[in-house]
Formats: sequence, C-alpha cells, structure tokens
Amino acid sequence: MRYFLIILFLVCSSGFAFSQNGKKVQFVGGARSLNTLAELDSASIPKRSGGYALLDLGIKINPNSNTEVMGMFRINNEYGGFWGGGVNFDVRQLYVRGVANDIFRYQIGNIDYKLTPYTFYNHNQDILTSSIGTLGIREDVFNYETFYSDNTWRQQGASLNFGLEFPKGIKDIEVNSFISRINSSDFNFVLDRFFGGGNVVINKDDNLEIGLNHVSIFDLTGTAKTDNIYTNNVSSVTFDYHLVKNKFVYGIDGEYGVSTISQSESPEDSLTDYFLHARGYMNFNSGLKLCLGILDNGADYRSFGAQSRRVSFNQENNFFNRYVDLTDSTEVLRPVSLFDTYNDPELYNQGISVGLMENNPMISSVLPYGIASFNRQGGYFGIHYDDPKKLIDFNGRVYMLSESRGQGTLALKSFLMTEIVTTIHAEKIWDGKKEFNIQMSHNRQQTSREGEYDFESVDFTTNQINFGIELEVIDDIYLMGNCLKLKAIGNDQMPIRNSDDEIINYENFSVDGEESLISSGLKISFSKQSYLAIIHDRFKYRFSQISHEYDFNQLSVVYVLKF
Amino acid sequence: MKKLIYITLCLIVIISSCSKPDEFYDGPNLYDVYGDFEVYTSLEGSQINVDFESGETVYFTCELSKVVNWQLKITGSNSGAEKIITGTSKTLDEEVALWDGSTTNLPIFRVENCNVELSFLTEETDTILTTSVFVTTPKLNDGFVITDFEEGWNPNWSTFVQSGTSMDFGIKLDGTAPQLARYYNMAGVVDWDWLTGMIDFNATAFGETTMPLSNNGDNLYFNAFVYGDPMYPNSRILFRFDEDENVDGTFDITSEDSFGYELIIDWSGWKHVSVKYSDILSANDFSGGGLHNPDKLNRVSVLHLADPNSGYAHSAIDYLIFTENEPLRP
Repeated sequence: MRYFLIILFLVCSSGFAFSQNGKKVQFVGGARSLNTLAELDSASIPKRSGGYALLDLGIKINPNSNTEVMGMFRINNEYGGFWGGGVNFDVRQLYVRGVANDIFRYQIGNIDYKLTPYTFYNHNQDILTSSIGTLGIREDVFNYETFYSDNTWRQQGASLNFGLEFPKGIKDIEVNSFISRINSSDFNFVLDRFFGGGNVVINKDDNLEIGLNHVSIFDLTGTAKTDNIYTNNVSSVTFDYHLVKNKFVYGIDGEYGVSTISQSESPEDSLTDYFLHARGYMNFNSGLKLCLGILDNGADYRSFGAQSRRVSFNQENNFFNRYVDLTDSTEVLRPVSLFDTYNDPELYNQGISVGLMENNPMISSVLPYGIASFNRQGGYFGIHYDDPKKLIDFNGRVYMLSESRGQGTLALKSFLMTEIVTTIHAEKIWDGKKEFNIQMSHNRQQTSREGEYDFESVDFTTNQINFGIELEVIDDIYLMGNCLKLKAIGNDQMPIRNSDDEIINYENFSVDGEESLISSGLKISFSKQSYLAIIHDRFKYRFSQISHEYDFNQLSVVYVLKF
Repeated sequence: MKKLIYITLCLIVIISSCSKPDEFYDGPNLYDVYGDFEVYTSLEGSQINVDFESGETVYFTCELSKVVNWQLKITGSNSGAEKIITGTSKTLDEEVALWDGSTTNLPIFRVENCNVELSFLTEETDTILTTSVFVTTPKLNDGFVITDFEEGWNPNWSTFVQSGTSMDFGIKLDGTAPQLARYYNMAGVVDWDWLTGMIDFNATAFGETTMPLSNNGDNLYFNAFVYGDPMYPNSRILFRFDEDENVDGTFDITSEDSFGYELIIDWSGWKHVSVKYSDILSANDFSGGGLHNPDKLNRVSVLHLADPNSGYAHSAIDYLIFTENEPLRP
C-alpha cells in the first residue's frame, strides 16, 4: 500500500464547524442598534439624527453530518420607522457547504475566499493601523458589514477544495479552486464576467511548501452582442522554505508570477508584466519576529483580484454628502475623509472591481493597492514582538520603495513608509484585574521625486497618528478614547487615467492641512459577544486646498449582540 | 546540501527577476503639461489655394512646446463664414487640424480668401498665429437640393401670403444669404391668424410627381438654413411633407400621410437645422398609415407662423436639401 495514493480530506477551517453538539438546526446571527445625533457646522441643515435597529437571523441546518445549509436574513428598521415604514428585509447570507465522499470540501452560494497576496486577496490599504477604543468599535461594525475577515473577499459562486496525502516523497498536496460571477450580461454590450482560479499547494515536507496559483477574470462569449472578450490572467509560484532549531524558526518565502490583461478586439493594447516578492524571516522563542523583504512589481502588473480596493475615493459620502461653502453659500460635495472610512460601512466595496480604483494619496500613497501595488520596487524590514507575558505587542515596518517606471518623466518617485503599532496591556504591570489597554500607532509616508524641472519635483508627506485607550473602571464597564490625526503636506503629480486606465494627464495635487478626530466613549460589556457603547466624536477637516473646512460632532449609541 | 540547493534556487529566481527601471515612461511627458509655452514652428497651411469641390482639403501645421487647448478659426474675408476647429495637443497636423471646406457658423464659404487664426486657451499666452488660404471653389454637398433660390422663382412652386400689413414674402438678394446669393424672406403682420404666408415646393418642379429620394426614412435627413431675427423673436416655421402614397400625382390629406416639423425661431441669425425624416411626426393623424415613405414625397411646404397678438414677425429660409446617411455638414 506504500505507493497508493491516500486521499484524505483536509481539516476544515475554523469557521467550518459542523453540527456542533449534534444539533440539526442552529440559530446564528447578530443584532445591532445604532442611533446618532450629528452636527456639521457648515451644512445647510446642520443637525441630523438617525439610526437603525437590525437583526441578522441565520439558520444553519445540518441535514446530515457532511452538509450544512445556511440562510441569514436581515431585518433592518430605520430609526423612526414603525409598522413596516422604513423596514427592509434582505437575504444577507446564503450558502450550502459540505464534504462530498469524505474527500471534496465544497461551498456554493456565498463564499469567502482568498488565494495569495498577488492573485486574490483583500488587502487593507486604508485603515493602516488597527484600533482599540472607540475606533475599534467602528472597525468591528464595518468588518461585520463588509464580511472582511482574514483578507478574504466575499463572492457569489462556488468553491471546491481537497487534499492528497502521500506516503513518500511529498508530504501532501492541497488543491483549492473557486468560480464566481462578478457581473451579469445586459444582453447587449456587456458580457457575463466571471472570476475563477485556484491553486495547488505542495508540502514537500515540514520545511518546504510550494504553491502554483492561477486566477482569471474573463468574459463568457455569447452572453451579449459583442465578441470583445476581456481577460485578466495572473499566474504565480509561491514558496516557503524554513527550518526550525529549538523553536527558532528561520526561512524564506515569497511569490513570483506574471499577469496579463487583454481585450480580444484590441490585442495591441494588452499588458503583460511580472511581480516578485521575497522575504527572509526569523521567529525567535522570545516572541520576536524579524523579516527582511524585497519586492519588484512591474508597472504593467494588473491583478484585480488582489488590486481591488476596499474603498474607492471616487464616490460621494452617504452622510452629509453636501455642505455649504460659507464664503459664497454654494453647496459642494463633501470629500470622503479618513473619519468617514470608519464611520460609514456603505463606503466599502463588496467585491472585485475590474479597473483601477481611485485612492486617496493622503491616506495611502506608498502601497495604494497593498503589497500588490503595481509599479513598485524596493525592500522592506519588519519587526514584530508578541510579549509572552502579554504586556506589550509591537509591530513595525519600514518600506523603502521606488517606481519601476516613471510617470511623464524618466525620473522615478521614491517612497518611504514607516509604520509602528504598539499596544500595551498596562494592567499587567501591576497585576491588575481590570483591563487597561493603550495603543499608539504612527504611519508616515513620504513620496519624493527630483527632476530636471521644478514641475517634476514631488515632495509629499503624510503622518497618521492614532492613540487609543480602553480603561475598565468597573467590572465590564470601560472608558474609551481615541485621538486620530492625519496630516498631509506637499505636492504630487497625480495621474489622471481614462477608462482603459491609461494615463492621459496629470493633476497637480498640493495640500497642507490635517484631519483630526477626538473620540471618547463608554462601553458596557454584557458578554464577550455583546456590548452597549456611547461614543462622542469631534472631527475637524482642515484640508482647505481640497474642500472647505468644517467641524463635525456626533453622538452615537451602539448596541451590538452576536450569537 | 539539499538546503543549499533550495536557497540557491530561490536566490536565482530573485536575482534574475530584479530589473532595472524602465527606460520609458507612462503617460504624457510632464514637460508637455507643465513646461513653458513656446511656439517652435509657426502656423502654416498645407496649400495656399484649395479646391474643395474636387475633394481637396487643407490642413494646418504648428509645433508647440507643450500640450495646450487651442482654437483654429478660419474666416471668409467676403462672406464672414467661420470654421472653428479646437483641440488639445502640442502639434497641429493633418490628424487634428484638417479643414474640408465645411462651415461652423453660417454663411457657407464662397470663392474667397480666408484668414486663419490660431489662438491658445491658456492664461500663459495671448499669442495669436495667423496665415491665410484661398478657396478657389467651395465645398460641394452631396444630397438632393429642393432649392437654394439661386435660380429665382420656379413656376411649379405655389405660394399663399395673407393680406396683412408690411407683408414681405419673396426671394431676396441683399448680400446676407447663408449660401451663395439668394434666400427667401418671410415677414409681416397678420393679426387674425397664425399663418402669415407659405410656399409649396412641388415635385412637379423637378418634372416628377414624387421627389427622387430613397425609400429609407431612417437614413434620410432634411436640412435647411433658417433665419431668426433678433428684433422679432416670435416666428415659427412649419415644414410640412406631403406624400403621394398611391402615386396618382396628387396628395390627398384624408388618405395619405402628411408629416410636420415645427420650429420655434428663438435664435438670432442663420442657423442650420436638420431632422431625420423618420423622426418627423404625423400632421394628419396617420391618415396614410403613418409610415414614412420619402420616395413618395409629393410636396414640401414651408409655413411661416406667428402669434396674431405678437405683431410683426420675420424669418427667412435658404438651402433646403435632403442628405443621406448623416445631416448636412455645410
């Protein structure tokens, strides 16, 4: 039997808990209530109150030990709605998953999926430093709303995964595949568009892992009155080779591949480029982790499965979307601010977007599409420390990058990003029983370019500072506070792209200002899964070169329950 | 040894992949966008004389230091006709600055010398570059001309003019025609009726019972030059198209289609109006079925209308022409 292939199903993911306690039917879900009173000083109607109460009720049915059916419905009642007024019913989740023949894991319907950072991955480009305190509650809400978890994208489609285990030569092989439809035909000039792919991950032994990955966005011919087929193919090889000596782990990992993007009716406009990311890492017994990496992402590298942004900054706010220029009383659109990305989950993208989404250089200029950003090359250094005594967590990264191809000039932009996040669990110092968490984070991004002419020069710096605190004053009652500040100064030449993402012009982007948020609140925790919080936000927008300055105050009452 | 092989393989992949920066750049050159404005080569026409009737064209060349918004204005020295070409580029050439003899602002160009001005829509400069070109023969438009009034009154046309006051209906030769020399004037005061006067252009003027047009109303355009008097903005013009569907030589309003295209003259000066024949609405409740049959067009009538309470009304028409595939490009 030594040479027989032994097929084993893989251990299911953490969220794949079948029929816990043998129950055939389980109820899962959550409830949330959010009520706000907000004031924007220069809006034509400066005060607004609103809110909602919603219930997500999911029913998990296990018809047998290998199958799970999940349907989750949302009842959302707007604040002030009564007897059906302002009430919406939606299907929030629907899927079937299971194990076929004790081999194949499948899921049909909603799937949360990712592959590798360069092929299919939900990078977090804008909320650069994860927060505690009041901003932590905001993050909790929009992560729940958007299904962003573990860098997956929620898709409508199907996935199939299975594993093979070998007695000799190769330890095991894991095969993952998925398919989803990302837009439907209009039966005229828009074809059905699909996104599919998969990977084969080969574990040679406990030390070496090699993955072969491929994803493709493609149009299905015959689904509309056009033969112009769009494709975006990305293929890559991932590797991880590491050694362990007395719990000291060191190794090298990375990803290398190529991407192509084309339309059948204009093959001359197709783009092909490669990408490379490699890093060496060392994980010490003490909880210290060090890494040193290089990346070289070609200027024409396009992988929309990995380059779709969470937030497009080319959209209107849903809340106070217009406000008044106090100098001439004209109403203008209120630009999406950093605070809005915390405050409004509806700004977030729910799926793969084909085409380059607009970023905000004040928030992310160095890696606007995460590590999958095109036209970047250089190196980085990272340090991470998890205190075994749980007193302090530290995470720091320094990226030193440049363009690989200039924009409008042969002179290249240089990028420097430093990011530090420190979380101190201060009660550990005095062995306190009540939590006292302090988090400090700083993200600094610099873009510079020197050239023969003044207009080639770019010097743009942003600093994002976040200070958060959570103090348990009485059992399960926390005082919380956050101070978030974004400062940006300097100038950049921002490319203006046409619908084919080609640069057609430049916009001189010049700012000197800041956004600041001071937020305070009280959280009453009923259990690990439920809490009530009262939050007050004071936000100031001071980027007068972009839009009019304003002050924004908001009082929110949030109730969250998960079950 | 095995570890060494793995590490070596990884390093080979990494090192072989690290590349030099590209030796070209994306997008337009920054100098073309932000550099100083300079004129490298002056404005020139590709030829001094141009015969548009024989299909010749003329293009203009100029080289600039940067990409700017520019406007090329060609003005007929006698007619006052204007052709305006705009663009955004750093060079003017055959691709962006070609003139086929067409007109932007009426009247139509004649045999005349034309002044050409190139101006730049930027605050950086008020430079205007000039040259000239002589039109030896104007552009010839493809299409079926109902009339341009240059031949004078045709006895197969018919007319009706109310007996109001200051009535002035007739062909004029006063140097203000938008095309060649003559146009048809319509003016007067009629305080009891909307209709002040009308003229019928019958197919019999061409020796036929129907006008020689294609049968595809989706592909046929009716065009006319219509004058609006800024002093008397109360005129309306109704173009009426009567079809002889049974081809008996006459139009019967009770059983054959009549279509109407009405204009409220709210502009000043001559204007080119154009309408797809199949877009013209029925004027007699689809008496003939409502199907557009331009090949059976028996008569085109032009009715000058004005509110009886509005006093003196004045308008004029010229160059009534059917074109195929696209509206007239005068």
